Amino acid sequence: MFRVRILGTILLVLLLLLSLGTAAAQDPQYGGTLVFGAESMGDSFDIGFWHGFGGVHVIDTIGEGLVRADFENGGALPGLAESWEISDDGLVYTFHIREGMSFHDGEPVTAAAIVRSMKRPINPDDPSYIDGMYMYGNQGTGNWESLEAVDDHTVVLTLMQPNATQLLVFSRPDGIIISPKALDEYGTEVGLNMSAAGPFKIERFVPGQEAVLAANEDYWAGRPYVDQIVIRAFPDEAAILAALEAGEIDMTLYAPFTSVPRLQNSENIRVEVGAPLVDLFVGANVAKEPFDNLLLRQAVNYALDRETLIEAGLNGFAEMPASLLGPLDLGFDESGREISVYDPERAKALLEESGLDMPLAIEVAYENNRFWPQLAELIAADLEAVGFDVTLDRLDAGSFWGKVGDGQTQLSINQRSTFVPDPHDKAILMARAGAEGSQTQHQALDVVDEIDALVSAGISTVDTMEREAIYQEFQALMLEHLPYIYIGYLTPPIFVNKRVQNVETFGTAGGRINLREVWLSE
Amino acid sequence: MRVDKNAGSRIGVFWRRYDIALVGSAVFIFILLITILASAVAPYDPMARNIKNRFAGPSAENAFGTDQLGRDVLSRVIHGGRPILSASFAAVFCALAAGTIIGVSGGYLGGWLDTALMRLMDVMLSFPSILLAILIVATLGLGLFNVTVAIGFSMVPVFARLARSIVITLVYEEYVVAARSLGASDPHIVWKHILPNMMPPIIVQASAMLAVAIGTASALNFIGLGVEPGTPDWGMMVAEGQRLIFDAPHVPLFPGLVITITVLSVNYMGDGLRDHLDPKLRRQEI
Amino acid sequence: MIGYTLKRLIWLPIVLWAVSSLTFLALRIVPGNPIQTIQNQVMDKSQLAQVEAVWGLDRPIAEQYLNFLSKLLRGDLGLAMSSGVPIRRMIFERMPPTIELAIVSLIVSTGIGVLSGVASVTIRNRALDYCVRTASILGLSLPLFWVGIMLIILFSVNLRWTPTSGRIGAGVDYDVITNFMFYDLLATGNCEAFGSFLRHLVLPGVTIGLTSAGFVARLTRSAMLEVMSSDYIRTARAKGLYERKVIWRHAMRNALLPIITLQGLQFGSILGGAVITERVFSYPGMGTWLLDGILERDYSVVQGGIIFVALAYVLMNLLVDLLYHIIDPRLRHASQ
Repeated sequence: MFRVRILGTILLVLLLLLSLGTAAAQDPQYGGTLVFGAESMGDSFDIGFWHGFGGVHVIDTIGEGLVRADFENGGALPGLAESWEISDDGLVYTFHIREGMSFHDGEPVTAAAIVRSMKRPINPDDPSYIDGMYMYGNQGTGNWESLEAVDDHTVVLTLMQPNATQLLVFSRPDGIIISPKALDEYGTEVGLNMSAAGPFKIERFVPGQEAVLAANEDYWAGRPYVDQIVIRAFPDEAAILAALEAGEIDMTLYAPFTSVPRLQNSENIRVEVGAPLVDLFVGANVAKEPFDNLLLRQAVNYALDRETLIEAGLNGFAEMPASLLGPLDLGFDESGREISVYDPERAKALLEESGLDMPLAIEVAYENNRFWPQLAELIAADLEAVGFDVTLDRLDAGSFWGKVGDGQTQLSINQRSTFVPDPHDKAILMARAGAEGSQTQHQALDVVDEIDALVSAGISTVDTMEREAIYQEFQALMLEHLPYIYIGYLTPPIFVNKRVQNVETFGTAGGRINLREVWLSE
Repeated sequence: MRVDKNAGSRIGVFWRRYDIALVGSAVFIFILLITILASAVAPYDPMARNIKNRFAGPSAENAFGTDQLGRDVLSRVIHGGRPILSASFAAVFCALAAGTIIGVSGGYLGGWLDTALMRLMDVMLSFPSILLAILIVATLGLGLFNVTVAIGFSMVPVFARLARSIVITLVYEEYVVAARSLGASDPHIVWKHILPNMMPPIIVQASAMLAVAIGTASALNFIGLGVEPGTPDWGMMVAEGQRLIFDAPHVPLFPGLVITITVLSVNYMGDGLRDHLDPKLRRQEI
Repeated sequence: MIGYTLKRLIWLPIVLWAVSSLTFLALRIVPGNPIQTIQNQVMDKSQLAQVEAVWGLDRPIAEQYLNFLSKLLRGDLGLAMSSGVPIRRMIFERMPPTIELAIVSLIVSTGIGVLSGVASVTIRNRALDYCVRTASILGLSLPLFWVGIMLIILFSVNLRWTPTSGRIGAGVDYDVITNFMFYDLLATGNCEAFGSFLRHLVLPGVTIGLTSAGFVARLTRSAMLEVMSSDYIRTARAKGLYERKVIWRHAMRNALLPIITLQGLQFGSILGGAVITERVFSYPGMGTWLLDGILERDYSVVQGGIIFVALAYVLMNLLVDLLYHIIDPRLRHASQ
């Protein structure tokens, strides 16, 4: 009897412990420090400038704009604005600001503070104004008729033209709201002393090295689980791998893909796969011989053995491509998958049809970092197999964009990330305005005006169904003229220590990490 | 009998004095031969890819394994000496020639010429040499010749300053003062008395700078500013393979090893040459 | 002596002017410009022309140059084009870490180099001599990124003695006064941070130190061999002076000259040139900053940074020359 009772008690205790244990494994826990390995760390977090992805990660972790982006389903989620209305003509945006929020420095988040921060790039009298804050160019300020704080908790924005992306660009890193006190106190050096209203606040910043962020107890959506986040720079890929192995970092996007097979089997590291948000492509310069010839662009398209490229060049971390827009984009057209295929015979036939002497000498330009060199060598092999004579032109980032900007490249390999879950983020590559500096120099396409009209219609149209149709037409036109030839949609490996739970794999894949809901087990 | 014994012992003495220098020379000549005869010696085409057989470890087919594109590492190592060695040697030689001329003319003639030349060297030196090389390659573009120019250019002041620092002490040596008081012409003094006496340290410096040149060439590749992509080149192989150090260590390891052996052999050769050339050292038994 | 120093100081502005002009020119020759490198980040391209005008990139080069010089004369280094941060602020952030790294690596290289150089000459053991020579050549020839990552794998990943990278542990708390941590952390009595700081300096310091230790060892060895075979050492020996005394008093004194020259140059070149080591160890110094500046074509960063590197270098050089004159009395006449 007694024994049974003891046994029963033991069992009960065991059960209790077991249930506690499983509860611990499932329920998010508070506390701990998460170290994130970035590829760089900027010298400032002034959102008017680009500071590399390390800088973007910090800004995304400390900042909050009027809205947040939903990378999984597209569209906007509440941010500092708990709700908003857009007038039927798409011109007037009324934002209702959540009450009781404060910036990291304790200043209340009011409509006036928000307006002040948003007007920073267009108000040269602001003490924090710096000439040449180019990143604000993404906010669409040129199209603002007025921006006003109607009362303490209402902001009204009036546009001159409808802009379908206006709401979502507020979720960009350059859309976060800065405390007015910080703008006054630090002036032009506010980037070294950022005070925003996001889930974490800056505790310490060592330019070029690391940013130490502490959980914001007063964050409107509740305190984040992790106490502290350190975002630290590791410019060298082998060094980042070493830090991962040594347990010095918990999470990174920047370890070499080739390490995945080994790390997947390692004791303390897990590899998650990001969503297909990044386009990899070959841009053909259509303003210059020989790729002003559509037949040659088509030949390149059919010459690429994408399965091998993805397997050998990216360790399998990409999906087969369709067009410039990705599978998660509004209006994505699946039928492009039948055009972006490997058909070397067809490529050879197209080259023959062109009547040019083979082998035709061409140049392929690319950046000298990450997986680009390996990918380029494989692409060159594919092109040589169908009759091109390829010279590889490996360039540092500055020379690459210099050469692209001057229209001196023939084929150039690059990518497009998704900073905003809207097709315009990629379609903008084909706008007439930026054609001269782009990889394709598409001002020379005879359909440039048609394409530009579609790109403009894509944002001036407010109705979603109509936009979908516009982007489908856009994709069809792009595939017909092939200024870009698609390699794949990158599904980047996200390296995390096994103690890191609840990793968001959508925004992260496009370079916009979200550490609000991450927590650490143990 | 006596003659033979004597000759034997003389060879023995020579061997004992220069043993490691001789080994170094032999190894270096072997490496040079392999490099020159690369196409005949290499088991495979260094550019031939085999995607199915990536990252294979060393085996009977591929003695040094295969790399990220399934290319034979051994064949690439055999072919990979030519670019880096020719660039490094050419760079050091040009820098040595230019630097010695500048240093000797400045140090020997003195006056405003010396001041001007040395300030010019200061200007060049105050540019960190690796940044100077990076700027030059970024401007001229990738490629072997441009890498050679970049490395050579950045080394000129090193030789110039060294040459000058030796010359200004030699000028006060008794034999130079004596030669001058006997009315010897400046070119004669430089040629007969200064140059021979400054050669030993210059040769040591040159063999050391060769190591530096090879290191700089690898470093340029590491930053992505080296030889043309795809070219088999030791520096490039080590630099590109560095990210594989945990996953396929054989890819960067073998070219790295060959670089080390080459530089060691050249330096031992240089030391031996220096010992042989320096009349003072020949008297001294170490 | 003072006259000589003054004469050298007169050259300082001229050298700086030459360096900054050359930098200015070189940057304009290198293909690509800051606008082109940011173009890809900006959706509204019409703003780019405005930015170009703000930085004066639309002006003729001669005008840009005069503008740059006149600002420089007023001590205005401007803002970094890519980040908008004042250059002087960035120098404050980036110069001290690199100076600390340079000092540590000079201590390492001088210590190892002189000792092994002397040992290889005095301890008449061929095997030891060869070991020292081999090790010193290895230090010279192995690519820095290679040595760095090997040290990381051995000491950080396997043994876990040292951290893999950075200047101080992730999230360690400390106060910044001068940004020279050696001073700041001791002044504030922050022992924990000081320990972390030192542990972070070990591997990068040794990586750079090893390369120049090879140089120092070789110079010591050859200078000593030369001195030992010279007449006055033989005289000294003949006079019955102790061997050790001979070595340290006479031979080392002569070996000092080339070593000081070398280390002076080395110090100068580490200030801006520890690019590879700083990169492998993610060390936030001048080298990585300038490299990024070059790669991003950030004109103001490279122009401003190089001037400071050049200034430090020239001053260091002057110091070396002055030391020269103190050590070698023969040269005193040469300078007069």
